Amino acid sequence: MTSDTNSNKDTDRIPNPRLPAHCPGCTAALKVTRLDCTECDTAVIGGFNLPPLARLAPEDQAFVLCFLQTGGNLKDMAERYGVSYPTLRNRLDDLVEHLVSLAADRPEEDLGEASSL
Amino acid sequence: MYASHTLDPHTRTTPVRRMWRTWLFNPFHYLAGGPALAWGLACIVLTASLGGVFDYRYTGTLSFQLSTPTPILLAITQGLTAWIVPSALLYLAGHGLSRSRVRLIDVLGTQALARAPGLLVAIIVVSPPFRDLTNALIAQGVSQFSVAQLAALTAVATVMVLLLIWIVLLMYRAFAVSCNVAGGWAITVFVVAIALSEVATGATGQFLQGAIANRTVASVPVQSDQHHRAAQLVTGILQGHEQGRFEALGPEEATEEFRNGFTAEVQRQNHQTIRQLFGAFEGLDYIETRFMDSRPHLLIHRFKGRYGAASNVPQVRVVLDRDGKLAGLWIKPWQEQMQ
Repeated sequence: MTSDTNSNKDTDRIPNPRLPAHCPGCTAALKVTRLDCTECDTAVIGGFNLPPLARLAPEDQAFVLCFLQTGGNLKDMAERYGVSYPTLRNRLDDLVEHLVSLAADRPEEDLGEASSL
Repeated sequence: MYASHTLDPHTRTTPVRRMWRTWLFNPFHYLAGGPALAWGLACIVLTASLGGVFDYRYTGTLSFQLSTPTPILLAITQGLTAWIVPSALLYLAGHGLSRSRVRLIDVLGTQALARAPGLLVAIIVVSPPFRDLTNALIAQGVSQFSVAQLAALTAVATVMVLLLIWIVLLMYRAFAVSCNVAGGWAITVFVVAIALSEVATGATGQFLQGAIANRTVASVPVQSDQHHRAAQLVTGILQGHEQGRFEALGPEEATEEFRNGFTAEVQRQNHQTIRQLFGAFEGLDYIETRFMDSRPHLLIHRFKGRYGAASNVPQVRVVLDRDGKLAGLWIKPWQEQMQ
C-alpha cells in the first residue's frame, strides 16, 4: 500500500479516525514512518513500530481502558459488560496472552519489565 | 490472528435471537459463581425431590431410573452426588489444563446450572401420560403396544435423548467457561471426567442406598383396626393365586397406581417366584402397624406369612391408604426391624 500526501487531509475530514495496526492488503503489522509536530510542522521520518497497546483492536483497547477505570476490579467490569465473572476473566486472560505475544515481537518493549515509578 | 472471547456483541448490540441462543446453550456467559449455584441447586433439589415423591432417582451423573419408592433424603443425596462428583473431577482437570486461575465456586455454580434441564426430565417423568405409558410398558411389554403407544414411546424417548444431549452440552460449556479451556484436549478431558464420574456416582449411589434406603424405615407403631382389612384383602389375593386365579383388582380394592402395576401377568410371575422361595401360602399372622413420617397418609401393616416352607418365614407388608385401598404389597424375608 502506498501512502500519499493527501492522508493528512483525509484524517482531518474523518473525526477520530481509527489507527490501523495491520495492513489491509496482507494483514502484516504496520509501522509508523512519519510523525508531524502539530505546532511547528517539524517532521520526523523513520521506521517506528506501534506500541503493543496501540496494535490492539479498538474493542480490546476499550477493554483495557475499562480495566484501568475500574482499578482492575473484574467484578465491576463484569457488571459493566453484563457478563459473568469467568467470562470476563477469560477475556482478560486471552488479552494478556495476546499482549505478551505482541511484546515478544519487540523484546525491547517487554511488557513484563516494569518501568520505574 | 488473535481472537478473544467476545464481550461486546452480547451487550447492547446483541440481536435478541443470538441472546436467547446464548441463554439456552451457554448461560454461563451471563451467569456463574454464586447466583448460578443458587439457581442450579434449586433445580437439582427440586428434581431430586420430585424423584423421591414419584419414585425415580439418579443412578449416575447422566442416568436415572424408575425405582421402587425412594426416601426423599436418598433421592436428594443422589441428585447432589450426581452434581458434585463431576464438578470435583472437572475442577481438578481444569486446574491441570487451564492457564487461568480456576475458582471452585465457578465450577460448582456452572455445573449446577448445567443440570437445570433435568427438571424438564423430571416433569416429563412425573406427568400422568408418561406414567400411564410406563405402566403399560411394564404390564404389556413393548411387543403388545399399539401403533399410537409406540409412537408416544418413540416421541418421549427422543425428547429424553435431546434433553440429555442438552445437559451434556451445557456441562461442557460450563467446564469451558469456568476453567477457560477449549479445543481437543478440553473435550477429551471432559469426556474422560464424565465417564469416570458416571462410574463413581453409580458406586456412591449403591453405597448411599445401603446406608440410607436400607436403614430402618423411620416409622412409628400405631394402633389401627385397619389391619383386619389388610389381612382379609391380601389373604384373598394370595389364596386366589394358590388356586390359579390371577385377576386384576377393582377400584374399590386398590389405588389406581397399584392396580396399573399389579396386573394379572405381574401377579403370575410374582407368585411363581414366591412359591419357589417360601412354598405354598397358608395364612397371615398380624405383627404390627406403622406409619412413615415421609408418607403419613399410608399405613404399613406387617404380617408373618405362613407358608409351606416353614424354615423360611417371610414378612408380608401391606400398605393401605386412608380409604383402605391397597397401595403396596411386599413379601420378603423376615427382619425384626422394618427396612
